[in-house]
Amino acid sequence: MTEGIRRWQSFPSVFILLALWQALALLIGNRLLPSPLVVFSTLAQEVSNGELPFHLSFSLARVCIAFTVAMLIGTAIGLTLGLSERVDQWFYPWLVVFLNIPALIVIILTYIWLGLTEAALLIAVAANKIPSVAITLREGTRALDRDYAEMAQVYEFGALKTLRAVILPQLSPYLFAAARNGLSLVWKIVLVAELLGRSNGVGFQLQTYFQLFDVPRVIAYATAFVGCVLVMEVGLFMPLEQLMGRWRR
Amino acid sequence: MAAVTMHIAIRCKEYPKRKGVPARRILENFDLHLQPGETCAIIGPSGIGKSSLLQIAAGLDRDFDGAVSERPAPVGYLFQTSRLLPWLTALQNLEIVLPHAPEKAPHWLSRIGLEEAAHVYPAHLSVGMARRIALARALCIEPRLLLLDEPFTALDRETARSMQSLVREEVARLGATLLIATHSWSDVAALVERTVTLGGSPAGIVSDSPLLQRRAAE
Repeated sequence: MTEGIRRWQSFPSVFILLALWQALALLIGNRLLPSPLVVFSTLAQEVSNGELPFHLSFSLARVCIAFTVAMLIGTAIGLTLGLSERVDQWFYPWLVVFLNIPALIVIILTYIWLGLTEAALLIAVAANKIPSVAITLREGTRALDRDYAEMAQVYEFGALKTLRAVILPQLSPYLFAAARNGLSLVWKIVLVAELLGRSNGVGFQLQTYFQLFDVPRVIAYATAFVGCVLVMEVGLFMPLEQLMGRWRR
Repeated sequence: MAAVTMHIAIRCKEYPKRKGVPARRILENFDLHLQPGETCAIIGPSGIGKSSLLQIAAGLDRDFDGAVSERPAPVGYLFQTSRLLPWLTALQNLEIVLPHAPEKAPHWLSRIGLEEAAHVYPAHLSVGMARRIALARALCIEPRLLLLDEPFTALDRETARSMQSLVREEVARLGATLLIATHSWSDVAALVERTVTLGGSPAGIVSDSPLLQRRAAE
């Protein structure tokens, strides 16, 4: 069975989820859990009045910047710890400490120290994600096959070529795992950070509609955001992963 | 510049203690001089330290008491396993060691009779095919020191013969020093002028026979 057919076969499960949602909405009542139809009409309304694209674009930009920064810094830290036992001995405990600090505390402290600014939000979100990227990449680096490194040494690849042709391809499954987890974590943290300290973005809107007890709009904004992340998954991560893994048997 | 003799001197090579396995001394008082262009086989039972010796000769293993001096460069090394990069095709595995002359890679694939496998990834090659590509990789850089670790074990007799003659031809053309770890008297007969036999525990040289072993094999 081809990968394409397999992917299409997962579509009926989405319709089953929608049907379940509809059934639950009928059971619980429209006020607490609006039906998919009500949510999608609210979504269309928010798109047409320009509110949703405006706030969504802010949130997505924040997600992209924080995610990229976290991936770059986390990968660099993970590589360094994985390649050097001495550095690892010193700094791995730090990583474990930072990994276990709750996201909310990092956000609150960053806002206190840097003020309710855009930079504070980005730093807080990236800081929350960096330790988990670093841990994943550290594990990947420790699992690198020494045989390939020796081959690269004999054939005088040099540091850059070794990184590009030998190390990064071996790390690609770890990079994808870190990126996937990263994206799902980053957008959740962005919403919390927006809710606490910004005057725009999906998180800010969710806070407003929470205060108004406007459940259809809360779910409509959440659906739009999840939809964007799914598009990234299907349009970016899956093809990239397939491309990078085409050499596997 | 005058040609200089490569000298491998190992007073002691030890595997350190690791997770319950005690430290083990594998090579002791090993001393080998190799003239430029000399071809030499290291013979001995499995596990005696032949591969470790090649690792030391290549400069990959520096954790030993002794020294390797005047190592010719570049070094072509056919490892015991092929070590082709699995995310690169057969052709790309050759191109990557030829950054200044990637156009030579297809020529090398045709020399080992695998031009049709150019765009095949190593996972889809047989062990023997991967071995031949790894051999081409070791030869295409025009090495001055060629290290071959059990080079033709995965090949059928005919292919092994044709690979042996390719190695012989290239070593003669380049004037390269050849050091080969093998169990195969066919490799010895076809490729080298000198055999060094390892024995004992820890291993040392028990015999060093220029030409004699080869003649016997012939």
